[in-house]
Amino acid sequence: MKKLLPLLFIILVLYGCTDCGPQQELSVRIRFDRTKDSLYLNQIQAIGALDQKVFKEQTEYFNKYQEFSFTGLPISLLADSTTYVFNFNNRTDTLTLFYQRDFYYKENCGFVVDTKRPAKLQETISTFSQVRAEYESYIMEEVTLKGGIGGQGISLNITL
Amino acid sequence: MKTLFSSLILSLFWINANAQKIYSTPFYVGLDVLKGLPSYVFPEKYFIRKTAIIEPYIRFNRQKPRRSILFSAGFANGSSKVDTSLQIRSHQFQGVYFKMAFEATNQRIPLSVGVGPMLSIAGFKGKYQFKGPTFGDYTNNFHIKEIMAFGAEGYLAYDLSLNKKLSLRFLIRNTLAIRSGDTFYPDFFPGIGYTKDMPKYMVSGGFSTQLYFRCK
Repeated sequence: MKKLLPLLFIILVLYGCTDCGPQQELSVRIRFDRTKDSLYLNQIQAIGALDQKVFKEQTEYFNKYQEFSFTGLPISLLADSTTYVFNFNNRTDTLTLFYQRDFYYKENCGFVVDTKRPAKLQETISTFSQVRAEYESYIMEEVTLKGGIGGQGISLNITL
Repeated sequence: MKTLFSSLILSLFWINANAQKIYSTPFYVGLDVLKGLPSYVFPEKYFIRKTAIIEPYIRFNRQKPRRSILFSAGFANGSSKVDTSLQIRSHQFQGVYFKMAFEATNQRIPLSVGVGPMLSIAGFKGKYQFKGPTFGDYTNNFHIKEIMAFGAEGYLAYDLSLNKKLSLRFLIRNTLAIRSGDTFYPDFFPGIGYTKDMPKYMVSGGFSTQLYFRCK
C-alpha cells in the first residue's frame, strides 16, 4: 500500500492539472525535407521582426546539424500571418503562414494564447516546392500520465 | 451601472419610508468607515488599490425583543493588484450589492449575530499582455459586464456605545456565494471580498468597522 501512495498522489495531482499553453510568443515547428538537397542557409528573416536573435540561432542549428529535424520560428501575435525569408547560398525562398489568433481567459491560467486554422482556405503562400501545414492547439486538451493530448501547435513540413 | 446605482438609492429610500410605518421603535443608520481605507494606505501591499467602497446600512428593531433586521446596499469602484502571472497588466472593477440580515442580540453583552441573503452585480475591465520579444508585445483590453453573484452572509458583531446617538460596531463576517458566467475570475468581488482562484463558488471573510446613528 505504501508503494502505491506516491502513484496515487501523482494521479491526483495530474487529475487536477490544467495546461495553460506557452502564454508567450508562439513558435511554428518547421521540418525541412533535406534528403535530396543540403543547401547552406545564410539567413532567416521575418517581416516585421524587432529582434533577429532567434533567427540567427535557428540558422546556425540548420547548418550545424544536418539531422536536425525541426526549426522553431516565432510567429507574430500582432497579425494573423507571418512572412519569413530564407536566404540560401544560391536561392531565396519566401514563406507566408496564415493562422487565426485566439486569446481568451482560462481557469487557473489567466489569459492564454492559441491559434486555429485560418478562416480562408489558403494556409500558406510559398516559393518552396511543397509546404504542408498542420494545425493543432498550443494548449493540451487533457493532461495525462504520458504528458497530455495535443499542445504541439502549428507544424510545417517543407520540401526544398 | 448608473441605473443600478439609482435603483440602489431608491430602494434605500423605499426601505426607509416603509420600515418607519411598520416599526415604531428606533432605527439606526450606519456607514462602514474602514472598507477601502487599506487600499489607499497600503496600495502596494493590499490586494486592491485606490478603491472607494460606500456601504450604508439601515437597522430596525423587530417586534420580538433583541431581534432586528438590517438592510444594506453598497457600491465599490477600484482596481485590483496586477497579476502578471495571469498576463493581466491592469484590472478595474465596479459593482453594486444588496444585503439583508436577521439579527439577534445577546441580553447581557452587546454582541449580535446576523445572517441573511446577499446579491452583487459587478463588472470588470482591464488590459492583458503577451510578451513578444521578436515581433513586439501584444496588448488588448478585456471588459466583462455584469457578473451576478448571490449567496448568504453571516456575521458576529460587537456594539460599542459612544453616546446616546452614536455607536461603533466591530464586525467579523463570512460570505458564501455562487456567481454567473465563467469568462473571468476576479481577485476581488464587490460585496464579497477576496475571491482569488474561486471560479464558481466564492467564500470570503473579513473584518469591518461601522458607525451607527440612532434616528429616534
